[in-house]
Amino acid sequence: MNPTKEDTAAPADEKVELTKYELMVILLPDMSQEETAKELDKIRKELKTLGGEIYHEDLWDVRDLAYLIKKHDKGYYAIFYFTLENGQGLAEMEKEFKLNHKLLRHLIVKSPKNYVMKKLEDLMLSEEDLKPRGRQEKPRYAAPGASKPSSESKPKAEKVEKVEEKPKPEASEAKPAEKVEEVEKVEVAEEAPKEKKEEKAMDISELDSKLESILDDPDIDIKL
Amino acid sequence: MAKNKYNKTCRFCDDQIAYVDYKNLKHLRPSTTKYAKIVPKYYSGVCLRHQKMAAKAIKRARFMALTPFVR
Repeated sequence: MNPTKEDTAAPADEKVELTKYELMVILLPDMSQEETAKELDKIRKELKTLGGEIYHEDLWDVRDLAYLIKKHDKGYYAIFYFTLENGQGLAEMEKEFKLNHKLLRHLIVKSPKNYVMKKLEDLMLSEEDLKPRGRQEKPRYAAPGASKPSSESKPKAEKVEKVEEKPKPEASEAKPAEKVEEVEKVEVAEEAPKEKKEEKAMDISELDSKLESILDDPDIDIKL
Repeated sequence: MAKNKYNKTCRFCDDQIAYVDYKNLKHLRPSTTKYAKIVPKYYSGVCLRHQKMAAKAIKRARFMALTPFVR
């Protein structure tokens, strides 16, 4: 923790404003009540030796952890609100915390000057809070809905492509009917693919008329 | 002016919250997704000052096992 410079900055003031800290501690959950009380007393003594004054305590008792810490799924939470002139001794205290195996976690935080303490029930989520999770999920559900028109537009484009593809097989069917005349036209069509469709549309009507004329011609025998 | 297309306002400013406490899960929950990730401010519309406070509070709450890192 960083030591505060407020005390050195304003020594001439009548009352030096003490900085507020809060220490949250997670103890082992499977200790007896006496053992936990001992550990908590240890922490209180260490805070007092540093010159801190504990002005409030919150004992949350055993709570579920959000994830496993050293294979424990529960922990005994305790919070000490205290004041210190300067936080120089806190680093040494934290070292001792780290060596203590009965302490799962600890966190020292500088709390704001006008910090309002709240009860545990006001801080933690109630069942009602857990229900309306949809506040954030609404935009999520809206997002796929917004993407729907784009997904719908894709099949339309495919349909258009299919419609365009249809005349081609018809033209290919018509081609073998008169190979000799078509050969030249097909070569032209390959050179200019954009004009293909228009030419083919013209070709089909022309070919149909030609076919009819050939079929009607009595001089030519066609075995179907 | 519209901050984003939904024209949201900072919900911490609306409630006049001066300090986002890491213990207050009621404040932190709307700032996290259902996978416990921090919601970016361009989704939630939270102002930069409060977003920074909320992000710090969420990280502290994660360390103290009040909220999960991932779900």
